[in-house]
Amino acid sequence: MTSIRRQFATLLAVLAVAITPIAAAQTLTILFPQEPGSLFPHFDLLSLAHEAQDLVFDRLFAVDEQGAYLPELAAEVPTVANGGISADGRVYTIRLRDGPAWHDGTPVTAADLAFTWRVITDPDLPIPTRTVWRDIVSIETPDERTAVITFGDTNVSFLGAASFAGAFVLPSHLLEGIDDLASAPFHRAPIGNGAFRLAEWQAGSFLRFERNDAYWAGPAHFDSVVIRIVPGSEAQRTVLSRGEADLVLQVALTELPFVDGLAAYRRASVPTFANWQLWLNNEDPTLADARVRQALVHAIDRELIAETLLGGLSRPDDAVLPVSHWAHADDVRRYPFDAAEAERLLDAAGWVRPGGSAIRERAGQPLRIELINIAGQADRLQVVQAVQAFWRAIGVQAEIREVDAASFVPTLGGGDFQSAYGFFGEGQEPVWNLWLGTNWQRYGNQEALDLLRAYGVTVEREARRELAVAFQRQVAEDVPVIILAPRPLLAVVRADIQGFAPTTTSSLWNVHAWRR
Amino acid sequence: MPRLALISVLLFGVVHLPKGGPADVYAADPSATPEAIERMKEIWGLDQPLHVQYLRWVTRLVQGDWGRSYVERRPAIEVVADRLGPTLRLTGAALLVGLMAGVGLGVLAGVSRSPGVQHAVRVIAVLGMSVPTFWSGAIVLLVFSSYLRWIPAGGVGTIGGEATLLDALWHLAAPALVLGSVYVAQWMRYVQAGLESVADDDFVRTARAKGLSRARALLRHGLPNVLLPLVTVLGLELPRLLSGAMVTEVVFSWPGIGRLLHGSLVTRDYPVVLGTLIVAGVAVLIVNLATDLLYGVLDPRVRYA
Repeated sequence: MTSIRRQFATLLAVLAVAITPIAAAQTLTILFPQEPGSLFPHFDLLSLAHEAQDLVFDRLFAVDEQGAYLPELAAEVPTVANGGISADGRVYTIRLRDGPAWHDGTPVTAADLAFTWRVITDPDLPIPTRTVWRDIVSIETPDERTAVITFGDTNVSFLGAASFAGAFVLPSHLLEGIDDLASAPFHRAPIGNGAFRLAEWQAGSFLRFERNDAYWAGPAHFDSVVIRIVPGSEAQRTVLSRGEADLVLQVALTELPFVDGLAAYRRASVPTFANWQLWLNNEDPTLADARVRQALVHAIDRELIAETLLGGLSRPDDAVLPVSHWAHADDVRRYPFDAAEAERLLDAAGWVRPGGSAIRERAGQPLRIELINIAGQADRLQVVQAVQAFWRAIGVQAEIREVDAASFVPTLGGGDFQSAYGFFGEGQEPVWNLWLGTNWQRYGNQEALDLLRAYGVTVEREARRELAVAFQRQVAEDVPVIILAPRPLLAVVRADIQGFAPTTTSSLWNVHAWRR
Repeated sequence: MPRLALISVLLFGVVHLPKGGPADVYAADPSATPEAIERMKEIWGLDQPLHVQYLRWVTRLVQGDWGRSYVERRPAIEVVADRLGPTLRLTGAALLVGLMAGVGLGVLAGVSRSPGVQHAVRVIAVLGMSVPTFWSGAIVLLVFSSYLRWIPAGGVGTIGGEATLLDALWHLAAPALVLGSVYVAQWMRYVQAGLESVADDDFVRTARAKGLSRARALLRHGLPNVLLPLVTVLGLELPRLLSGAMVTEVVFSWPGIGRLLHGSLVTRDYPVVLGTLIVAGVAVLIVNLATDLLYGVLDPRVRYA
C-alpha cells in the first residue's frame, strides 16, 4: 500500500513538473529620449550614457536612496575608523570584494583600479572630467585586491568621485597597451563587470543587453534589458499607451498630465542635487547692486512655479544645496513672494517709475534685463515666460533670448549675459566647481569663497558641513543666483515593476534586483 | 572644381558659425572643469584658427577620411552609413507614395468633369499642402497606433522579432504615407493643371476626331506630355524630401540621417554634420544627373539636340 502511495506521489510530482509552464524570457524595456554615444566609461558626461553603462559596469561604491555609500566592487566603505582613510585624509586603502569578474571571466583586480586612474588622468585623452582623480599622486597595489591611493593633499571628495554616476572601473587586461583609447572599438562593444552584457546595438534604434549569470551579487531577475531610443514625445506617448515600455527616464514635465492618466504606470521622482536656477551676472552694471538681485527674487512666486510648471515634484528653497543633501543649510535668509518688498528694494536702489510708467528707470535708462534660455524645450520656456511676467509686474522688462544648448555655456562663460535660466548641481561630495571654477555668475565675495577653499582641506565631515552651511548662508544674503527649486527628474515606471529605487547618482544601480 | 571648393568653404563655415563646440556640450556638467574642457579642444584641434581646421578637414576629406565622430568615437563615415539605409527606404517609399497617389488623383481630377471630384481634389490639395508632417505624424500615431493598434509605435522593425519583409513594410507604411502625403497634393495639382492645359491642344483634338473619348485622348496622348516636366520637378524636390524626412524620422523614431543630423547639430558633432550634408549633396547631384538622363530617354528630342 505504501509502495502504491509512493508511486502515486512520484507520478503526481512528475506530472506537476511536466505541466508547470516554462517561465517566459523576461525582458525589461527602458525608453531613452536620447541615444548614448559611447559606453566607454569616463568619455561621456551624458547622464543617459551613465545609466546605460550602469548595466554593464560596476563602480567601487554605489549610493543608496538615503545618500549612504554602499560597497559595490569594494568590500567595504573606507572610513578613518576602519583604517581605510588615513587621519590626514591623504591615503585611502581600498579592499576589493572577492568575486567580481569581467564578462570574459577574468577577475577584477586592484590593477584595474590603478589603470582606470591612469586613463582618467591621461592628458592625451579627451576626458571631460578629471576632478579628484587628477589629485591622486599614486596608486599602489600590494596585492590583487588591495589598492592604496595617495593624494598630494587632504582629499575629502574621493568617495563621492568613486561613486559618481560614471566612475566605473575599466578592464586593464583588455585595454592596456591600446594606442588610442579615444577611438577604441570598446566604445561600442564594451566588456564590463556588471549585471548585464551588451549583446546588440542598432544605431538610432535600440541597445540589447543579456544577463550576466556570473554576476557577483547573483544573476539578475530579468533575462535581458532593451534600451529603446524614442526621441519624439508623440512616439513616447504611443509606446506608453500601448504598454510597450517598463520604464521611461527623463520625461518632460509637460507630459505630467498624460502620465497621470496612465493606469498601468506610476510616476517616480528621480532625485538629483541640482537646482533650477537663474544665474545673475554680478558684474553687470544693473545687477551688481544686491538690492536689485534681492528684488528680483522677491518678485517671483516660486511656490506657484514649482507647483504648476515644475510639476509639484519639489518645494522652492533658498539654499545652494537642496534639502536632500547632507550639507544642506536650513537657516538661510528666505525670500518669500512679496512684490511690494521687491518694489521697495528697487526704489531704494534708484530704479523708479517716473510718472507711474510701466518700466522703471534710473538716470533715463530703462530697467531691462536679458534672460537667456536654452531653446527647444517647452517646459523651460514656460518657466522663463512666467519669470518674465513676474518681473514685468514690478517694472522690470525682461527680454528672453533663446540659444541652443551648445551655445549656452560659452555665452555664460564669456560673460556676455545678464541672466540665464538652467540647472546646476553638486554631487554627493561637492567640489564647488560653479563657485571656485567656472563662476559664471561672477560672484566676488572672497570671504564666502574662502569658506569653500577651507572646505576642500577639512577631513572631518561635520566640520565640512558647517563650512558648507556658512557658505550657503552668505550666498542667500548676496543672491548671486536665484534658486527656483530643486530639480528632480521625472521617470515613468510600470506599476508591476518592483525594486526601482532611483538615487542621485543612478536610476539603474540596483537593476539586478528588479523583478516584475 | 573651384565651385566645389567654394561649396566646401561655405559648408564648413556655416557649420562652425554658431557659438560653442563639441567640448562645450560637456561644460555644463558640474564635474567638468574648464581646464579639462580646454584640453579636449586642444586634443581635437578645435583651438586652432578656423582656416587651419578647414584645411586639415578638406585635406583628409580628399583622402577619404571624414574624421571621427566626437560623440560616437568612431569614423563619421561609419556613423552616416549606418543611418543611410533607413533614410533611403523612407524617402524612396515616400516618393513612391507621392507619385502614385499624386499622379493618380491628378489624372482623375484632370479627366473628370464632375464638380464633386473637382471639389474633393481641391480639399485634398489644400490639406496636403498646409498640414505639416510633425502634426499629421502625431495624429497618425495617436489614431492608428495608440487607439486602433493597426501600426507599430515607430522604429524600423520589431525589437527581438524576426526581421521579415512584412515586418519591415508594417513599420515603413505610416512614416512613408505621412512623408509622401506632402507631395501628393503638389504633384496632383501639377498633373491636373497639365492635363487641363493640353486638353484643347491640336494633338488631343486630333485624337478625339479619330473617335477617342476625352478621357482616353487625355490619358493616351496628353499624359505623357504632362509627365515629362514632372521628372524635372521630382529632381528639384529631393532636398525638400530629405529635410522633411528629418521631422518624420523624429516623430516615428526612424533611425535615419535626418535624425542623425538633428542630433549632431545639437552636440556640434562637426564631422558627422559635414558628412551628412555631403551625403545629402551627393544625393541631390545624383538625382539631378539621373533626371537629365531620364529626360533623354523619355523625350528623344532632348537626346538628339
